[in-house]
Amino acid sequence: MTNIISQTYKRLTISIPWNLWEKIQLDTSQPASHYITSLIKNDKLLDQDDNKDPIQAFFAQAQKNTKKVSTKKILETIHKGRSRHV
Amino acid sequence: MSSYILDASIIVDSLLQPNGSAAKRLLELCTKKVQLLSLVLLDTEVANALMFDSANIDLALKNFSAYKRLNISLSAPTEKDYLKIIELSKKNKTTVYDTSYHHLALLENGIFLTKDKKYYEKAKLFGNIELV
Repeated sequence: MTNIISQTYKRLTISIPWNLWEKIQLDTSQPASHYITSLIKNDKLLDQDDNKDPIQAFFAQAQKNTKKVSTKKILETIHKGRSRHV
Repeated sequence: MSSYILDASIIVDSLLQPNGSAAKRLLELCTKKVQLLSLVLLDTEVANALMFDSANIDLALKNFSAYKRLNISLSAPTEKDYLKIIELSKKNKTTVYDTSYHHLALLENGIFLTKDKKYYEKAKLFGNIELV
């Protein structure tokens, strides 16, 4: 993920996936703002809370996690991660 | 200024259980003038737990980005720190991972916040720890 601020939308910080960022960098015939405009029109922005205060954004994002995950499961995942060999 | 040291359980629990005790405690701290500290290890542990436990990849990415925007100062233990951490871990039969967070709290005279009851029970004798 990377954050860029376009010239067109100076006040808007937009998070875009690396693959799209790569596409923007490789395809010089199309200005980045064209892609960003397309994204906005298609309502495909990843982080719509970017303009919020970081603390507000964090807790707003937390509220989007509607799938219940127990503390026990979270701790198991953390402990497994420490011993996992991928 | 008071310092609080966060482990991965606090961050991941706050995100995945937004109405739980970790989220409430973290919100409380974020609204006060306190220093939030942790280790560089936190990024990896949070990323891994969010990758496995978020409902889908899109949420995992957004959860991690939201976490990274929090103002948490991350540091890396020095060789001297590790020597002390290994000693404490061996003595207390805990992992170097948990102990390294706790050691930072002892070093900074802060409070180590964790959701890990097993670690808390083993290490509470060292002080500077709060089970959330």
